[in-house]
Amino acid sequence: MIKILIVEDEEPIANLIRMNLVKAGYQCEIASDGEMAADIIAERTFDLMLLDIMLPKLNGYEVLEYAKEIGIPVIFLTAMGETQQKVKGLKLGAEDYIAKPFDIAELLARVETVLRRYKKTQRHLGFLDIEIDTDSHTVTQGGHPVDLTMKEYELLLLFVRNKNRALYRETIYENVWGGEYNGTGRTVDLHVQRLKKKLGLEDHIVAIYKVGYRLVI
Amino acid sequence: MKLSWKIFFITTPIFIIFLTVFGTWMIQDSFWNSFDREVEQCMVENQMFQNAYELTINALPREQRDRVSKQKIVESFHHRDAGGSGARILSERKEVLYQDGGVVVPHGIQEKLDASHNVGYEIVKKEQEVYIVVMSTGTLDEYIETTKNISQIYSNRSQMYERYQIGVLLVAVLLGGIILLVLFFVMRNMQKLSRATRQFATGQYHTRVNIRSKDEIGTLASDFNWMANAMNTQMVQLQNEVQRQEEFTAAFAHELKTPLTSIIGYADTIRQMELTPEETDMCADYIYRQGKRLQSLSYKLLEMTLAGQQEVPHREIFVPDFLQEVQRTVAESLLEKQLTIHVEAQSGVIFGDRELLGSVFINLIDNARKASEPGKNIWVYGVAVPGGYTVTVADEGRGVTQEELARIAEPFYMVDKSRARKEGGAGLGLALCRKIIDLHQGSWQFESEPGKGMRITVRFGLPEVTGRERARRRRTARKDRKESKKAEKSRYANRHVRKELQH
Repeated sequence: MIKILIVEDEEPIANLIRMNLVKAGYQCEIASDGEMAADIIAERTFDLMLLDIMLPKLNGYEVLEYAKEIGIPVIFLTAMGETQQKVKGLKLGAEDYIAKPFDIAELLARVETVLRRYKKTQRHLGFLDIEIDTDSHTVTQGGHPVDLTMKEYELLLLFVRNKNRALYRETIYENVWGGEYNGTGRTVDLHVQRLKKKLGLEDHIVAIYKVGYRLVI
Repeated sequence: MKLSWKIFFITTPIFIIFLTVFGTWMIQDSFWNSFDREVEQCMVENQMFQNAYELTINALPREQRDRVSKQKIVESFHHRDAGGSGARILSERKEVLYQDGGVVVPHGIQEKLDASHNVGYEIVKKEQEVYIVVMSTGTLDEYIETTKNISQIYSNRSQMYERYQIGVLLVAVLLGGIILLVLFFVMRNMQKLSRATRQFATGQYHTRVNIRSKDEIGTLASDFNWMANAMNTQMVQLQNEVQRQEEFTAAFAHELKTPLTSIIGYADTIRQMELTPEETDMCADYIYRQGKRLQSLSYKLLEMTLAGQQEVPHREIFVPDFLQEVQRTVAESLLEKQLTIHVEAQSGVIFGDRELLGSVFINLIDNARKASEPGKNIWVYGVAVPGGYTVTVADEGRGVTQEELARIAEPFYMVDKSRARKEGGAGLGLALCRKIIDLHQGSWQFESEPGKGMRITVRFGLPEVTGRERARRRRTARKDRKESKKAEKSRYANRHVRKELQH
């Protein structure tokens, strides 16, 4: 099981992240200040660290130094949308950043991406008779390869990572296509229909009225 | 063309022209004076010759007159001067009756003489020399002609002209030089000034002009320096202001985004997932609490903005009364936490706005309350000091470290975030106090050690006022004290309403 350390001094935000990561199937621990975080990573190993910048005692950049020594990938959380701070964090060796406030789907997607980069996730995601190889970007169903377009593949990945979670059309659009969702296009629906047909998921990907879709397993 | 050359080319020719005209007039005048004198003298000499001649002739017996030669007669009274002069006696038919051997020049005076004009003169030029010839006729029908060389006064004149020309030339050169020198000196200062201005304009704000002269340029230079200093001061102030503003904005953005993150995140969780009722309750609770936090933040912010905009009325406040008022306001909340407050105030006054200053001490006491364990004491001392008044708020609470002390009044700084949040703080209390104290030109001082409590001393100065102003203030203060008692009731009501809003 993948273990993630959340370093955040704001209790509500720490709990929010933990709640969602646990539901997504990760194991989480919380450190409420920089010193505590440094102590914890010295004792135990983690697969990923979510790190706030403005922390009591040791600030995020200092904790980042420790994490780098041990080799824990770090995504930092920042309330300051300033480019300078982002650049500083990334230069110091952080993998990614998440600007507060954030959407849960964005949080999960970024966590997933970094974990994949570090090969911490399973290479093969599977459900029902469908197998997804995240390295070679190939999908097989019952042993037979299925031909999917890039967008369809990403859409499938999003559904698999958010099993049983309602995905809003805007969330889907922003994660797969990127950019602002204007709320009127049929792009999302068309792709979901095609994906359903290709993989025979008519019963599993259910439309939620006025919201979007959910993968039910 | 440079200003110095302009001035030079205008003044020097004008000066030379005036000098020349004046000099010419002087020389000409003196020449004509000498000339007139010379003419007069010649006339007189001629007349004397005539008189002497006639007297001598008349003195001779009639029979001897024709026998004695003219030569002898004349020589009895006339001696020829050496060089340049001469005398002749002519008959009516221009026969020379006598000649002394001096110069003879041609002239036409004889024809012009008649019965009414018996004397005349003429200026005759002959071989570079100038002669004056005077001819007169007497009772004897003989013409006396005297000639005198007056080249001297002419040569005097041209000599003077020459000298004068050299003089004018010398003066012109000297004067021009002096003018140029002075102008260059003045212009050098001007150039310095203009260079400094250009440097200043290109952003070298430390540029100053070093001109010590006491003239207009010197004044201009010191004005420039004064302006530069004033601008620098203002610029530094503006920069500080901008920096403060930026820091405040950054801190504010952080303070705003933190509760927003929770609110958006939990709301997103609720709408996306099927949660257990306990989980939903937890999410809702977080959303509510963080929403409350935003509300409290907006209230404090509003208060701060209002404090910044207010024009502070500097009214006299009698401190013992004022502190008791503050004590009454905070009494209830202190009682809840079983804290005891001791207020001791010496008789004295401070100047300012009662309401704003009240909020300062309420905030300070409230901070002390938050930092104190139940059962402890809080002290408020008012001490009249030379030139002012100090109010100290001391507690037996947790205290803070030196590093925290330095940052304590920064907006949104919280020594203990989690506890401050629980107490409903937004991290703006001391920032607000500082703003108000600044408005009153006061100062403050913190003393603290972890575990040993905190002492905050606020010092108010006495504004320098005239006797009349002081009297006016005393009058308004008296009025104020009466009004404040009335206002107190309504203030209590206001605060009550505000508390209601916050809870």
